[in-house]
Amino acid sequence: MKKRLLILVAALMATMVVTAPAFAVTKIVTGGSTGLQILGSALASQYGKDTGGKYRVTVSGGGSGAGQTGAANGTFQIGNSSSDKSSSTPAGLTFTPITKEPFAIIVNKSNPIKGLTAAQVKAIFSGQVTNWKDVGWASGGAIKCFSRVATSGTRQSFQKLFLGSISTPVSNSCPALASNALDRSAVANSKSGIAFVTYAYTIGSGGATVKTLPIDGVSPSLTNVVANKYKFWNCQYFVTKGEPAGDVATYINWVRSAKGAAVIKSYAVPFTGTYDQCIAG
Amino acid sequence: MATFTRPLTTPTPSAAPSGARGDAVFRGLVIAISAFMLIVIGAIAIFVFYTGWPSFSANGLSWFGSGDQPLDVQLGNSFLGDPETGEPSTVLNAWPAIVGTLLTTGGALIISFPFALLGAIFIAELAPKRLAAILDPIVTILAATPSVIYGLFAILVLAPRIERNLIPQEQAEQLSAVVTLTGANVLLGILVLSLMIAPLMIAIFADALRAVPTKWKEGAIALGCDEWRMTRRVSLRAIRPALVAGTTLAMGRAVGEAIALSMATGSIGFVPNPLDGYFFFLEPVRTMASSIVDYSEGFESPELKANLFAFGVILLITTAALTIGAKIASRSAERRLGGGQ
Repeated sequence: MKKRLLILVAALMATMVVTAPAFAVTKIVTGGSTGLQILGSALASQYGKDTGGKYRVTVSGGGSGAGQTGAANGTFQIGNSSSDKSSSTPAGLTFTPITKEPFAIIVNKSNPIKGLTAAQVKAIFSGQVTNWKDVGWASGGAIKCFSRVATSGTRQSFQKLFLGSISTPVSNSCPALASNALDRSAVANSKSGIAFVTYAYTIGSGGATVKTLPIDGVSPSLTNVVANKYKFWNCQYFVTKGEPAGDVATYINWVRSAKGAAVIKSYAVPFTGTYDQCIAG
Repeated sequence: MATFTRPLTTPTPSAAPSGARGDAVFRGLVIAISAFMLIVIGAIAIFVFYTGWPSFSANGLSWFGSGDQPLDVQLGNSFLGDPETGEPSTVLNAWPAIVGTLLTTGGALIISFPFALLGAIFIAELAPKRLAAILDPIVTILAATPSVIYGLFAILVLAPRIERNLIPQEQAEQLSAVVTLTGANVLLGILVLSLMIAPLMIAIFADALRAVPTKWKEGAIALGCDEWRMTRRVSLRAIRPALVAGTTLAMGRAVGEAIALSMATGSIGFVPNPLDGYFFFLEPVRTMASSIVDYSEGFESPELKANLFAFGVILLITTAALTIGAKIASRSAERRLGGGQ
């Protein structure tokens, strides 16, 4: 028994020694926004390949808020954030934009309406319009609006883009669900449902379970954002304490180069402008 | 209790140091591990109390009251700041979350207890041996199924059906300015919790029923009882403390359930209105445990963190009390049955 245990321990230690890299690897610790997790991992893996394994970028979740706090207190060298600076953002952080992410309004597939205006979206989610007959579906009945909890970066961005300001709350009669995916499945299951999600949730097989509405006649798509036709997008940021420097700066510059853009293109619109340009919209 | 039914294998001489020394080492190890666990649990409790305390001290007894503002607005303000002052707000009136927890847990116990009792009687007393041998592991698997599975079942399978069949259009339209009625509501929360805790209760009740001494049952039959009367007058009486223990354990699981209820109860911190009659059960709630998961993304705000940990304090106290209660009740059950043999 004891002998076997010893052999096992020895074997484990041997594997660790063997798998340890033969040369020094520089680690860059990133994390935060769950909306950026998939893209962040794709960028990290491509960067690892491009540098011949010299850099290893780790990506964890936790939410945009955790990304900002993590960058401030040193947990993350780069914090991922899908939301702009807010009143709870720690001081001394630099937000470097890396993408523009479109926001979309989704309804049930059996909903006959062809689209909504931005004003109608605002009226629905602020609780002024509660019946589909007021926005062009005579037999639609009560509107079932689905929102997100107040801590959600998606909700803050939606409030900024559609309701006028980041702190104008969505009507409290809308159930506040815990994730984009739950919102989407609520709408897929409810004939009279409507919700806001990020673009990533409107594509692929999951996106096909709901209907994405054009706003003011323009469909949310990456090309429409690039062409400056679809106005409802928000930037996603790499957040650093102070200006990016050293290895972190090298990585961020790579992400904002053509090589990074090639990875980003499948998930969002690459953006290399400034923070102020993001806020100006 | 611990009697071995098969002989222990003879230890080979090289396997261990002398028996006594091995025992001492093993004993020390077990004591060290138990002590470590106790310290960890104590540290967790202290941490939760310490982190949640600001919420209680800022709100006093009104913490348990119903406030002017909806629960979700209060939790939002403690994260984003009060719209008027811009400062994160410490106000929390948790009554809606307490009501949500009480309604879902109470409803689930009322529904699942009779089913669990009859199910346990069937498995332990009435079912043919072969059928019981199949049902037993099924119950155990159901009792151990992760709650997120039940949550998914609730929102993907049950919620659309409740919405289509139980919620009339006019009522939904009348209430739509106040609250959105969807398939996820108190009723769904109660159903999903019942599904979760019934197997747990069946497993505990059935075990207790099997432990009732055959002598007692044979005695009852010999005195002319039929099987139902024997079960009712002898077995059920003998396992009464186990019924209490199983129910309190199930209650503990229901009170602390977060994920499944976060998905199933409609995601609004609403207090269902008894005056709405039958619609009372079709209105949404948000329980204490599901508030914690739903808002956990906002932990970087100290005010919101304190509020969520305050829910944790209440849940910790409740579940600890229930677990200790269950332990005491089951001890007394063992003693009674032990005394009869």
